[in-house]
Amino acid sequence: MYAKLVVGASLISPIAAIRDIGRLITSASPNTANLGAFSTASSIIVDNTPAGWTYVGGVLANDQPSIANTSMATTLLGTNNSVNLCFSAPCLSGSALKYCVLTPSNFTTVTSAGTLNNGFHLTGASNASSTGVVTNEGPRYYLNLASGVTVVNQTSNGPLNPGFLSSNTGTTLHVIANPRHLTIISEAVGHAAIWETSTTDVHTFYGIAPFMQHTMYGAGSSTASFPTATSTGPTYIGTSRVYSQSSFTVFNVTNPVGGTNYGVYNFFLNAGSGQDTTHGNGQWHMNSMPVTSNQRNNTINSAGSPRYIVNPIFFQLGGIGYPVQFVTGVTPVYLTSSQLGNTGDTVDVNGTTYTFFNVYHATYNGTSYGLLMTTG
Amino acid sequence: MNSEEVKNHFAGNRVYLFDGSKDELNDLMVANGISYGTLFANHQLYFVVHDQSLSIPTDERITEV
Repeated sequence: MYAKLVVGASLISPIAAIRDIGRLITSASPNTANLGAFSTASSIIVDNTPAGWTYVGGVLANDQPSIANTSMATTLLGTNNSVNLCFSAPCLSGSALKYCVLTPSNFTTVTSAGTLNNGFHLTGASNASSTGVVTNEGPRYYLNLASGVTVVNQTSNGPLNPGFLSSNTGTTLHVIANPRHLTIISEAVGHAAIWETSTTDVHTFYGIAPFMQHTMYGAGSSTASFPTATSTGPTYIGTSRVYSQSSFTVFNVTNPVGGTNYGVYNFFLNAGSGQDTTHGNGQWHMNSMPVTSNQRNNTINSAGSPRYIVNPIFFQLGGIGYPVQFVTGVTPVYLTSSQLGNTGDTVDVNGTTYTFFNVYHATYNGTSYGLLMTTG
Repeated sequence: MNSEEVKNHFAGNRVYLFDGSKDELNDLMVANGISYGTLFANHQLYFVVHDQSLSIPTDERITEV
């Protein structure tokens, strides 16, 4: 399923936005009739293959046992309400489910005029109930807030970091999903995703669902240089741009040595002052894309013509004794440079057609990147 | 991982020890509408509730660390 969702002339309520997304990813026939908030005139269901996620439940009575209908009033919310919508999907191996949670960002409680006043989060979890009780929810991320801004009622276990998913006017969200993943790309901003990975014997032994929560911010710096590869000369297109504000989280993982079980395990999190210190950096090697200015993401083909490098995504929980897990190959995604083309362009990768998503902000493009995904 | 390390792991949050199984903890939390996070270390089940506005239910199996 691939839906391009556009916020119309007026901002929309985050609870209405996540209900729209929830209806789409659980629908047997995703269509614009699922939308009660996003513009039905501007939004498009590009690929209506059912996403295959199952609605588990939510906090509000109106969202039990199914998501409220599109006509439901969408005024949000008391400041002390922790509202959510929870979903699950099976994994390719094992019986454990992967869970994801959509949560309004409690914007009414942002206590200063930060740039975010209307948004929501996508997180993973190890369990959820029909009443929206979540076990081991991953960290939530907030859009850039001015220095000193505080957010009360912070209910997640992550620091206040830049977040990506706004429902303000001018926002375009690309929602791509199948039973392996849910990926929400905010155009020119970043993405938040739940990605199933390959499994390992450790996962099998402990009955762990192999998936991760991943966020990446693509508008984090105003400095960038993106010359397009035009020759076989040493044209570097890299800057140190990709991992400056990203997070990688897995759930319910047990360390075979000692048996410690981490409900939430942030194996790499680097978001400025929000850098995670509780789980230890360096336990990842998401060797998916060169990240420093002396690395390049362009190469040549066998005829010597310029060609971009398409990067598979994989990682290793080396700190707790897990072998490499591959994202690419299970979830249909590759990481690339930005500006390969326009969002929606198609790219052939080893005989399969992928759609390119250009996470590139016209001004703040220092952390820009691209994703290639199939949409079915 | 001792209790002090567990508290550091959940820095900034109230940490509780639960004398029971994960399923029993989940039943208790679902009954009270409380989302939570867990850590199992040294054969002991710890949990945190990130929403500071929520009250932890009174239960003899729960001890604040």
